[in-house]
Amino acid sequence: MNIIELNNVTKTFGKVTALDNISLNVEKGKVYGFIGPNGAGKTTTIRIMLGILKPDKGEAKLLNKDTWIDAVDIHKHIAYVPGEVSLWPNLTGGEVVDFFSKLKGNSNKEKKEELYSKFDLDPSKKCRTYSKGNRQKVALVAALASDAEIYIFDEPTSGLDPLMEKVFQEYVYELKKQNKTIFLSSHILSEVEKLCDVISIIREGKIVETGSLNDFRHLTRSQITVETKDEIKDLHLQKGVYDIETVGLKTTFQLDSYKFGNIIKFISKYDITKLESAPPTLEDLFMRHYEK
Amino acid sequence: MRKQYFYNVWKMTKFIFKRDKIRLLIWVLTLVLFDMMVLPSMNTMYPDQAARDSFRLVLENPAMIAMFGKGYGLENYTFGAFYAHMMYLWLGLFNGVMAIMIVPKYLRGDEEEGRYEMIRSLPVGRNSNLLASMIVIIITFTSFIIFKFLSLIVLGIETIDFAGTLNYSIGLGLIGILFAMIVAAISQMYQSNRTVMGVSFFVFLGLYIMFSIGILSSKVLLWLSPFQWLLHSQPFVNNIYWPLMIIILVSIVLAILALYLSSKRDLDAGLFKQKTKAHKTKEYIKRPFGFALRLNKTMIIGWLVACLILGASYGSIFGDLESFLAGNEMLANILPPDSEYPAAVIFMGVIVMVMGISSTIPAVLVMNKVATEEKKGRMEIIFSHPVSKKEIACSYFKIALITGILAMFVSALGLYLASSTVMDDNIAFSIMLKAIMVYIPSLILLLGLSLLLTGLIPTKIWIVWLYIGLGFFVVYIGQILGLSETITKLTPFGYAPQIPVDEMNWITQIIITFVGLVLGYLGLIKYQKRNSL
Ligand SMILES: Nc1ncnc2c1ncn2[C@@H]1O[C@H](COP(=O)(O)OP(=O)(O)OP(=O)(O)O)[C@@H](O)[C@H]1O
Ligand SMILES: [Mg+2]
Repeated sequence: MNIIELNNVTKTFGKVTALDNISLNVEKGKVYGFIGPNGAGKTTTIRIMLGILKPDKGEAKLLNKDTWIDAVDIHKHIAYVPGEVSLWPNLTGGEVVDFFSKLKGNSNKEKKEELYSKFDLDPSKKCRTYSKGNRQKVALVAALASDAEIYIFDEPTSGLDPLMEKVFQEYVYELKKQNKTIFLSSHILSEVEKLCDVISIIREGKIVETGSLNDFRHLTRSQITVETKDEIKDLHLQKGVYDIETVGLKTTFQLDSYKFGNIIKFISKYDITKLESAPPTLEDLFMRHYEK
Repeated sequence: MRKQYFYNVWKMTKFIFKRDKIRLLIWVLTLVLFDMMVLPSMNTMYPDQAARDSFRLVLENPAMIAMFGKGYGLENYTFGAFYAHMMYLWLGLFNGVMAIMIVPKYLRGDEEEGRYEMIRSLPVGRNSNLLASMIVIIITFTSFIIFKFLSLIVLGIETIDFAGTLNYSIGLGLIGILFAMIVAAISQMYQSNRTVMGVSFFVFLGLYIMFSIGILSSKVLLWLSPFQWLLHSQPFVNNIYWPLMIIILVSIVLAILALYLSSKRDLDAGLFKQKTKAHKTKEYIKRPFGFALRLNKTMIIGWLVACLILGASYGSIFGDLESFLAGNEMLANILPPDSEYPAAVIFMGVIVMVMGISSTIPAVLVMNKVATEEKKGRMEIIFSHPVSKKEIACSYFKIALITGILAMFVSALGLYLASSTVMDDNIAFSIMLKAIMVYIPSLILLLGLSLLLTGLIPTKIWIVWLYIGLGFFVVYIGQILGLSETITKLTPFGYAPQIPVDEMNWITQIIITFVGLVLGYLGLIKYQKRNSL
């Protein structure tokens, strides 16, 4: 069942087309990673899912309900953490969290206490004294303490230190175990790589690639370093090989993943003494999509 | 509108009260106590019929009519009638200002700061915050009505009777609510808190000017202004309620309009889109002076236009003034008998005072930016460049000063252009210019004060506004209330001579300028030394 469903959604702001006909589906229990360069349209997509922006064209549904029309019903079952958290300077972090859970109608005191201590956040301080990271923690505590079906995170760890990032990731694992649906927009690739079942790349308002990490790996190239006893000949004539550099008997090149077997067979003729293969990282992929 | 749009509205209402109860309480108490203080002192100052009657004559001058309205119950000028004549409109204006100061923060402030986004991701209706803000305002002004009513009844002054006090309190409360609804509608149209406030004040001023011009020359214009609806309830005289019903009806219409617009719009959006500008940094922006100028350009131009219009609006009254004076011998008598100046020139003195003070507003807005921008955290990135705090403060000071002087110039220009077309025997531009430029030392003093606060207590920069407000009040209607000289002398405006009727007091003005510069200098030193916010 699709918990999140966007069909041909277009959104423009004046002359800027922030989203250009995007479609995406998230199944129940999946962690969906959403990556893309600055200004690609990630936040806009999320705001449409939250029903605080109205799509110009297309439909957006969460839990099978229209995000704009049934916003309130949907919001009873979702939790959201924005990328840039701004709070009321004269309230304490605890007051804000409590207010949010009051609006939500479910409040879990123990869970909150646990989250405060795990995230190392002092809820009795006024929000004006919080650093960026601490404000983010307030939003995270509020979201994670609430009982929801869908968790939407827009760059949730952008202000957190690596330790806190890890705490966050543990909570996401836990949610995943509980079969919750998670939508995670992020610039931190290792995070997406670790957590997500499905990844989409958005660029200039269009989704350019969607799939599991493995699907992506299939599409990408490995970096091969090989040393042979004999000089390799005619490597450049082989399909799927790029960027060859030869220094003496040491050769490095990029290799399309799906040609892996063929090429290994080919070079083994030259008596391999050393072979290294670096798996493609999401980063390589990312870079390929980011560079115009 | 669907019920869902209002989900959790009570929780939102409570939340607003929780955050803001102190501020609301202070506003209400200030407005209530104000009356409580003024009323007894007026009662002792104008104790008998004779005193009031003589004062009535002063109020019959068209300049005064433009400011205060015509008054009701003039034949039987009881203390109640007199008090309403003096205070009703002005307190109505204050309540309007209060609404404009309070409401935008709830409606646009939170949204602009990004606080509202998280709330909207929770089960909260699209209109809940708007309706909650309306409820808060209505509760606030209702408690204002109750407090005001009780406080005046308690004073036990004879003609400040039960029925009149009730009408008076309700009228004032309602005009506050009306302006809150005007702001509510405007805030659905514009994206930033500042613009909403600016546009609201613009509308407010426009409605008041409409009243001022209308009462002298056009019934239609007059009755289009809510201030006439307010005045026409005639508290302590006839206690009529139907004009107040108009206020209620219009408020309801505006509330519905605001709710409708809010249910249709995106978060962070308005009816009027903010323009996206070409992305080429002009050379001048690269120094603090140019940068500050760029930041304030739109605001400054807006205010200059406003000053021009204000001047022109006042100028357009001059035509009626002449005919009015020609037909009214009695009035001519109460003008200073030995005066060598025509009445129009004397009238101009009063008008120029208003324009002089309003010209300081854009200048102070610019100067206060040093503190307000810092408060918003936008100065940090500037300080991180090789730019001294001194350079920044001085740039702002220069821009503020030029803005103020320009504002005075265009006000005089507007006054001249409009008055010269409607008068047979018009006043020379140079006279008007001289009359208004007298306010430059006061301007410098205010800028100095602003800089001092920026150095000492930047979070309390609004004290400057309080001071200007006080100055405005003291000078403008304080004279009529017969406030003593010493109080007028607390503000620089009290020292400004009315040129050409008064002599120019060079020494005093030089001292004021000097004090302003010293304050500014002290502020600058403190500003350079203190930590960033
Ligand atoms: N309210 C708005 N008015 C005008 N333009 C907007 C608005 N919101 C977003 N945009 C534009 O839409 C595009 C997409 O912005 P969006 O915030 O969705 O990007 P993003 O992917 O979240 O970027 P980032 O990684 O920087 O957070 C950008 O070009 C942005 O300038
Ligand atoms: Mg974003």
